[in-house]
Formats: sequence, structure tokens, C-alpha cells
Amino acid sequence: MNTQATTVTMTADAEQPLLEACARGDRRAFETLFRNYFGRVHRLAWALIGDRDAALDAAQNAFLKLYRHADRVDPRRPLFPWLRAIVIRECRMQQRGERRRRAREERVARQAVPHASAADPVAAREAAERVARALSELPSAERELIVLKHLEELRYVEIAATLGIPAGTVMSRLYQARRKLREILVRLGAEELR
Amino acid sequence: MMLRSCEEYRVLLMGYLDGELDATQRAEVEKHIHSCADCSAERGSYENLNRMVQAMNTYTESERALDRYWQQTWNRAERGIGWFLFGAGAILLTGYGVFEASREFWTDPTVPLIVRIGAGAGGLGVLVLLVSLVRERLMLRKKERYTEVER
Repeated sequence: MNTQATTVTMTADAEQPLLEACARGDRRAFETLFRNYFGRVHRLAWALIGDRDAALDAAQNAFLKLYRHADRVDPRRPLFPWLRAIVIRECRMQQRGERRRRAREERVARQAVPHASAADPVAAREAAERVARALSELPSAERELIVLKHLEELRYVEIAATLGIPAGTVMSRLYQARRKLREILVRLGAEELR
Repeated sequence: MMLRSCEEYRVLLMGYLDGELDATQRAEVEKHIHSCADCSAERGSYENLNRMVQAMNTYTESERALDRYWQQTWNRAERGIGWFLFGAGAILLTGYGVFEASREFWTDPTVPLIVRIGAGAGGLGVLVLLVSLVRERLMLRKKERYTEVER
């Protein structure tokens, strides 16, 4: 049986005691936060890097930072935006390593490009793999835009604040990014985008 | 109303699909899409693209995978604590060893002066480097980057 893990968005009030306990080294509090947010953080890293193994590493690094620096996270504010910023930084660091980048590109290129609907978990994973592979071919700045818009569903002003770019340029940059992504997906066989 | 090219309308189409345009801009885009077959096709294509990318959000880890990832992460966290304790122990023991060894060295009258001066300078250099590293670390801690993360 393939039981799917669910991500429950916690309120800042629910997170506060967990973060405080986590700062004291409480394993159970850390585990609760991990189980709530890991799936989302991993998916975000996967979309940003394009390789599930490298994304797993980046997501785990983000959680290790949370565990080590929980005392420096403001418990009155929602945790996920903090985790998001950390994982984006982790992914950028991962992509800086040239050798690791090449090895990752080779792994991603070897992955199959399935044509599946997202009706069941296996198909959902396959569909996600195709998009992840296409995203991995985009320049990182454009990939981050797409991921923040589609996976994180942020507004343009929030994207601008997260990436440190002028709000007025988000729409035109998204246009360029989507145009390139569409070309890549068409090349990978997404006929419905022609 | 401003006259725009199809390329300009396609940029605006992004804001239209993302719900980021005001009422006037929305009306302008809709009017153009109804009169331009190419831009209308572009709209359909980008709607498909958006759906395809958003499908990534439907993918979730299985409970079993999540259990495994949790165990890996916790192991890494524990190893971090282990390395910290090991490092602290190693520094204490090395410090004690150096102290004991140097006590004999400094009191031994057979050791030439030049060797003592060299060893003293080397030891002082290591101490200066250590103090500098600790000071830098403390400064970085004050400007802790994780506290500056925007939320």
C-alpha cells in the first residue's frame, strides 16, 4: 500500500511551542516540524535542482539548519517562509559546485520522460519528474521564478521580495521563463503545449 | 486605449493568467484575445503549461519514504552533535598534551635557545590565528544570517 504523507499547514501559534522545544533540542518537536514541512520543502528543492537525490540533500540541510538554529528563528512568525528562504539558498549552493552540477545533469538526463496523468501517486510522480527535468534545463533565475509562482503560489510582490528583484519586472521575467519552459517541455514530448 | 503589439499582450497575458492585472488591463487583454487567434492559442497553451507545472504539487512522499528521510536527517543531526563533542574532547586533550610536553621542553637546559625562540614564535602564531578565528566566528554569530531571512 502506498500511504501518502500529508502536509498540514500549521498556524504560527501551533509552531511556537514546537520551535521553542526544538531550540532546547527536543527530538519530538523537531520530528513534528519535519513531518509537517519536509514534503513541501523537498518538492521545492526538487523543482529548483531537478534531481531528487540532490534535492533530498538540500532539504535535509535546511532542516539541520532549523535544528541547529531554532533558537534564532522568531517563533511568532510563520516558519515555512523561513524554511523556503533557507532551501532556496541551499539549492543555489548545491548548483555552484561544477562537478556536482555535471553529475546531477547526467543523472537527470538518464531519467525517463514519462507521459502520464496525475490521477494516481505513481503517475503524479512521473508527471512531476517530467516537469522537474524540464525545469532543470532552465537557467536558475528563471527556474526560481517558475517554482515560486507555481509551487509556492506567491503573488508577484512576494516573488520580488523573495528573490530581491524589482516587482515591476516579475511579469516580463515570468513570460521569458514560461516561454523557455514550454519549448523544453515540447521538446520532451508535451504535444498539448504546441 | 494604448495600442500594443502581440508580444506586449503576451507579457500581459502572464499577469492575466496569474490574476495580477487590474480591471482595465484585464478588459484590454480579453478584448485582444477575442480578436487575435494567435494570442488566443497562446493563452490555451500557457494555461496547459501552468496546469502541468502545478501538477508537481500533487506529488507527495509516501509515509514510508518520509520515515526514511526523517531517520536519515535525525542521524545526520546526531552525527553533528557527535562531531562537536569529539572536536571539543580532542581540543581539550591536545591542549593538555601540548601543555605537558612544553613544560618539559621549556625547562630542559639542553634545548638550544634558537629552537626555543622558534617554538615560541610558532606557538604564538597558532594562538593568534585561533583568537582571530574565534573573534570572526563571534562577529558572524552577531550578524547571524538566518535571523535576517525575510518572512
